[in-house]
Amino acid sequence: MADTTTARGPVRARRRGRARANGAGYAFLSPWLIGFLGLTAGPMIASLYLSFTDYNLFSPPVFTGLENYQRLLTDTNFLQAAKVTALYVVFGTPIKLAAALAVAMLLHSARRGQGFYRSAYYLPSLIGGSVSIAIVWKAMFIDEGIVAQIGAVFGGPDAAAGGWVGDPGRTLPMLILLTVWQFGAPMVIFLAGLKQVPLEMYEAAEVDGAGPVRRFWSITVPLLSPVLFFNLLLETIHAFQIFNSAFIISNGSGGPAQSTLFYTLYLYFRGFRDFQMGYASAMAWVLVVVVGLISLLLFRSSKSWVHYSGDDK
Amino acid sequence: MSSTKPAAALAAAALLGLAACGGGGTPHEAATEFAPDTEAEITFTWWGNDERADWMNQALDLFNQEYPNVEVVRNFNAWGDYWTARNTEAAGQALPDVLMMDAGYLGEYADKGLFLDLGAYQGGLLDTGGYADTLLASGTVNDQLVGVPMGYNAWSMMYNKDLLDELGVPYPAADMTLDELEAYVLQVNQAGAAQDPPVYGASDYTGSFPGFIYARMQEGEDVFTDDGGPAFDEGDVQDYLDSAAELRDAGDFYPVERTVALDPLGGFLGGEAALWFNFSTTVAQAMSDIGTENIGMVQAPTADGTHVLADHPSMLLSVAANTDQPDASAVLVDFLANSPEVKAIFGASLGAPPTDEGRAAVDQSASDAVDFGYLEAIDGEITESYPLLPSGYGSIEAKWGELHEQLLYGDIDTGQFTQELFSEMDMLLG
Repeated sequence: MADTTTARGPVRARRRGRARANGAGYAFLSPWLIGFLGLTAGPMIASLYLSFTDYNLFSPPVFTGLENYQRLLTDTNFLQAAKVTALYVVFGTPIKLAAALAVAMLLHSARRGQGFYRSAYYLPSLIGGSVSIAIVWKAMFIDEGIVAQIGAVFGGPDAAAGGWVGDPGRTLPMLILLTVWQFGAPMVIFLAGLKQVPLEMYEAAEVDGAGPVRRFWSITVPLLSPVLFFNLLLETIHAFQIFNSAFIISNGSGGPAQSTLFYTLYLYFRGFRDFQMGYASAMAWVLVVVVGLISLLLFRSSKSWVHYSGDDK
Repeated sequence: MSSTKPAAALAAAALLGLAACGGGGTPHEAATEFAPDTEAEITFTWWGNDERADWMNQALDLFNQEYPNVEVVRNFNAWGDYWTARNTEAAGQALPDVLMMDAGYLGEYADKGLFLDLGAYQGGLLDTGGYADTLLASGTVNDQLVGVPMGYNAWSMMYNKDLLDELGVPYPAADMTLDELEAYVLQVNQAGAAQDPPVYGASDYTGSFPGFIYARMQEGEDVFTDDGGPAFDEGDVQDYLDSAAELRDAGDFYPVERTVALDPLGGFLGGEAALWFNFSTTVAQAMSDIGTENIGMVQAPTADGTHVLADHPSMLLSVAANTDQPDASAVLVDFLANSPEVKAIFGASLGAPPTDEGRAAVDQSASDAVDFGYLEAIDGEITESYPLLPSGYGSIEAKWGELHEQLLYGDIDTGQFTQELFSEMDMLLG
C-alpha cells in the first residue's frame, strides 16, 4: 500500500506538470485555434452541410440531398465557368512560371543593379491583385487605350469597336496577360533557388562541352525542380481563385458574353446576388475537391520529376 | 457528471435564446396621436452613398426638431451589402425598425410577414392623402400597406437634343409607334454615319426586363402571377425579342462591343446614341454623364402610339414587424414621406415626390424639370400600378441583361435566350 502511494506520487506530479505545460501550450495557441475553429473550420463544416440544402439566408435551410450537385451538371453557366477557369489555369500558370523563370535567370546572371531590378519586377505582384491595377489594365485595353491602339495597327481588333474589352475572344487573353505580368513572387523564389545551384556544376558541364541549352535542361531544371514544383503548386491553386480582376474588368458581370465568368465569380453571383447559398456552397465544395485532386496529382507526378538534394534518383 | 452539467446549462441557455428569438410581440393597437415629447429610440437603415447619408442626416435633424425625444439610430450601406445585411437580419427577426425598401424585394419580405401593416396608421399618424392610388398599390402586398414610396418615376424614352440638332434630325414625337421608331433609328443612323465615332439611333431596346414589362402592360397582360411565377410563356418573350430582330440582324443598333467597352456608360450615356429607354429619374444621371442639360423625354413607343403607364415606386419606407416602437416608426415614415422640407433636401434624387405639395417644395434642377414635366404630361396615361415584383426578381432582371448580351454577340439565338431565361426562372422564382 505504502509502496504504491510512493510510486504514484512522482507519476502524478509528472502528469500534472505535463498537463500544465500542455495547458500553457494550448493557451498560447488559443488565439489561432479560436480563429481556426470559429472562422475557418466551423464555416467550412457549415457550408458542407448547406451544400445539401436549399438555403436563401432568409428561411431555415431545407435538406435537399444531392440536388445542388445534380443541378451543377446541367447548369450551362457552371460548365461555362468551369471552362473559362480551366483555360485560365492551363494557359496562365505555365506562361507565368516561364516568364518568372526567364527573368529570374536574367537577373541571376546580372552583376549590377540586381537589387533594383528584383524590386522593380517584384512590384507588380504586390499591387497586381488590387482594384486600381485592374482598372488601369482595363483602360489600357479599351478603345482609346494604348494596347488597343497599338494592337489595331498590327491587326488587332478595331479600337473604335471597343478594343479588347469589347471582344469576348480577347478578354481571357487580356486577363492571362495581367496574371503573367504579376510574375514577381515566383520570380523571387526562383532567384533564391538559382542561388543554391553550385557554380562548379556549370563549370564542369562547360568543360565537358555542354552548351547553354544543355546546361539549362540538365543542371538548372533538375536542381531547381523542388522550387519549380513549389511555384507550380502555389500558382495553380492561386489561379483557381481569380476574382478581383475579372470582377472589375467585366464590371461585375462576367461578360462580355460570359467570357470572364470565372468559377469564383459565378459562385459569388449565386451566393450573394441570387442568395442561393446552398448552391453556392455546393460549388465551393466542388472547387475544394477539384483543387485538392489536382494538388494530389501534382504531388504524385512530382516523384518522377522533382529531385531533392541527397536524393539517389 | 461534472462535465454534463455545464453542457446542459448551455443547451438550456441556447433554447431560451431561441425561444426569445422566435417570440412574437402582442398585437399593438395603432395609435392615432403621438405627442411631440414622446421618448423613444428607433433604428433606421437605408442604402446609398455619402451624399445621400448627408441629406438623410439633415432630414433626421429636422425630424428631431419636431420630435426631440425620439432618438433615431442610423445606419446605411452600399446597395449590394445592404441586401446581404438585411437578409441576415430578417432571418434572425432583427430588422431595423424603419428601413428603406426596393420594389424588387418588397414582395419577398412582405410574404414572409416581416413588415408591419401601415394601413392601420393611414388617416392617423400616417398621411397618404396626397398619394395616387396606383402608387400606393405598388406598396401594398396581400392587402397590407407595407411600403410607402418616397418618390416615383415612370418608364420613358429620353433623347439627346444636342446630338439630334447636330445631325439635323427632328426630335421624336410623343406618340411614336414601334414602326416609326424603327424608321427613326435608321434615320439617325444614316445621319450619324459620317461622324467619328459614328452616331447611332439607339442600343437594342429589348435589352432590359422593365422594357418587357412595359410591352406587356400595353397588351393589358400581367407579368407575374399572384404566387410569384411568370404570367407569360416562352412565346411571349421570343415575340418581344423578335420585334427588334430586323434592326438587330442588320447591325443597325449601337454595337454591343462598344457598349461593353464603355460600360457602365454605353451608347446614350457615352453621347454616341440618340435614344435611351429607362425610368424618368435617370435623366439626372444622363445629364451628368453626357454633360448636357439638353435631354428631352417622351413616352416609349408602342405598337399603336397610345400608352398604358404605371407609376413606379423608386424607394419605399417600411416598418419591421419585429419593431417594439411601431408608433414612433410610423411617425418617422410619415415625416420622411410627406415633409416638404425633406423633399427640398433630396430634390428628385429619390424619385419625384409623390404629392403635389412635395413636388412644389423642390427647387427644381434642370433634370428635375424634365422629369416633373414628363410625369405631369403623362398623368392622364398612368392608369396602372407597377406590377408587384416577386422574390428573385432582381436576379431575373440581371439574367435578362446577361442573356441579351450573349444574344447580341451572336452566341445564342432568341430561342436559346427564352429557354435559359425560363430555366433560370424555374430556379429563382419557384
